[in-house]
Amino acid sequence: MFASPSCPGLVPGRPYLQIDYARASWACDRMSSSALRCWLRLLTYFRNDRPIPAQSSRSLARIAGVSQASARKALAELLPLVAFSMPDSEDELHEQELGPAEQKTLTPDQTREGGEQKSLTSQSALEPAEQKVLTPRAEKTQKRAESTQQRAENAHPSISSKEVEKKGITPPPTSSSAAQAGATASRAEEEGGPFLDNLTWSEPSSLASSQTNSQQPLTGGNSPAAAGPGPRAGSGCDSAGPGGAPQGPVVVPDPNFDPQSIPVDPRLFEVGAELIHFWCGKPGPRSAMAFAVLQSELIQIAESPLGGIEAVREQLVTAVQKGWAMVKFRTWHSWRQCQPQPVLVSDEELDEGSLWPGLPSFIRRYRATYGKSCSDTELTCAYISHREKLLKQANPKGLDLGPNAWMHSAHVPNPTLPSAAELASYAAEWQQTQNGWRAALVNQGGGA
Amino acid sequence: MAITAKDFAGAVGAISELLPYAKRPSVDAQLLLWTTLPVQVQQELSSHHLAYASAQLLLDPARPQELAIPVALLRYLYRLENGLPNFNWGLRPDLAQRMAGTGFQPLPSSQHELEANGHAGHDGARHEPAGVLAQLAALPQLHPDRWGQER
Repeated sequence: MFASPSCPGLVPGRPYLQIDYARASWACDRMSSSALRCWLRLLTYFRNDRPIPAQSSRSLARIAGVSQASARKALAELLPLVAFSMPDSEDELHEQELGPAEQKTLTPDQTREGGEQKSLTSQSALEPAEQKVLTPRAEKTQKRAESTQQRAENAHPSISSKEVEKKGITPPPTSSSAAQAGATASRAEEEGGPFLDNLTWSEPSSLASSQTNSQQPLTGGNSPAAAGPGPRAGSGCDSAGPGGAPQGPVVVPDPNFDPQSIPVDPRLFEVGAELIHFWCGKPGPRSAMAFAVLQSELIQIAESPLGGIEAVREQLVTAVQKGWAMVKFRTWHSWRQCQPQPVLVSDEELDEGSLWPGLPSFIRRYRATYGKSCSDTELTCAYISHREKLLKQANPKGLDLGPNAWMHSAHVPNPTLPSAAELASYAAEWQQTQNGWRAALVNQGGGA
Repeated sequence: MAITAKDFAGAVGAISELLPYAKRPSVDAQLLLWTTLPVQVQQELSSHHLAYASAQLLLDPARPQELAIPVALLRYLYRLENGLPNFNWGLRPDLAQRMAGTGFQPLPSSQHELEANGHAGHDGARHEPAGVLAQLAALPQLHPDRWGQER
């Protein structure tokens, strides 16, 4: 359980602690209270989609808020259980150099993380040009970035990109699909695939290895989930690589990896590009099983009477933008039922069978022009004006067609919808009618 | 002289907004009201008639709640048959006097009141607030008091 390199306690994208019952009860039975406290603090303190860096007793005491002696005992309990990633010596130095002021900036702030994550995601999804602009800077500071990246990624996600830029560090990628500039650019150079230009990656720190790492299960070869020993292989939770930090089973990057070899179901060919885009950048599990599950969910959406292939495309695009780990049919279905798609009815269909010729489409157009708050009386008068105008056009000689000729379809054979100017004139006529009505009332009051 | 559909719809819509328990008619309802209004009524009424009737309806302390607004409006303008306007009987003979007056002028509540005002039997007008059963007194064999005797 603790040996899971990606921390099992938290689910990416969810700001609250989530520990399943079996792990919690196992830990409560076998661990001291201080070790439990330290573990929980580590879970909440560090990013949840990558391994926790190994802690010194001093740093653990600081993070968990326990004495150094307790931290040392807790560490002795945790070390055989938790698969810490081994940090560089430089990294350790940085960790030690952190002053109290800097520590304050790293205070957990989940809501802020969420907002930052969203903004970064949308940036990466919408502005590939800006990423290219950032690239040279990323290369310049690559060395320093590498040394501090582990800390920047692991220390806490709430570190703001502005603070990092002040220090000359490349902005740390957040979880989900936020792209790092260097990662995207260099990968695009390497691959040059048709849909890789805008790819976003969740683990951009060590480029090629991370990429092949995450994609390897799809090649069907020696995936870490299949080959790796230990509880993680069975759990099949997050197969995304740890981002270059050597820990757990060593995964050999597959140089022959070709994203185009991802077996896309024929029913999803139409959204293949979006699907692979989402799959390559998504957080969470990326095993062959997860891909099969994703495809089956998408096919369900595509074959649903409420859905269709465009609904699948919309879901995939939204998933990329929001950093979802999976697209679920049931979630989509309940959402779609809450927000049914608008029924688009043409004017002819709307007017068909109506008692008053052309009235429904006229009301729709008038309300679309003057807002929904206009009264029914105003609408009635505008409609009458419209019909009278049509009658005048159909009867230019002004023959006597009898009372209320404007209402008869025989006299106004081909009703057309009014233009905006005509609508304005009807509204003005309505005002005149109101004024006349008001004048009559005033006269009545004066006579009374 | 005649009123237009817009006048009528405007009057009915405005009154429905003013009255506390009235429903506001929809576009369809307003058009239906206008098309079912006899052409004779459309042509013989003026906007002043409508304004007078609206003022009377708003002032009436015994405003009929169960009648539709256009019917209740036309009560103040036309001769009544059993409390409802009878368009075939034409406008009220005293309508000009009433419109010249001030404030609320209650409608006559009985035949006696009509006779007292000198309007009884005028042009066949009659007012039967008690309903048609009151006329059964004219037929002694059908009078309810005699039903038991005959049996």
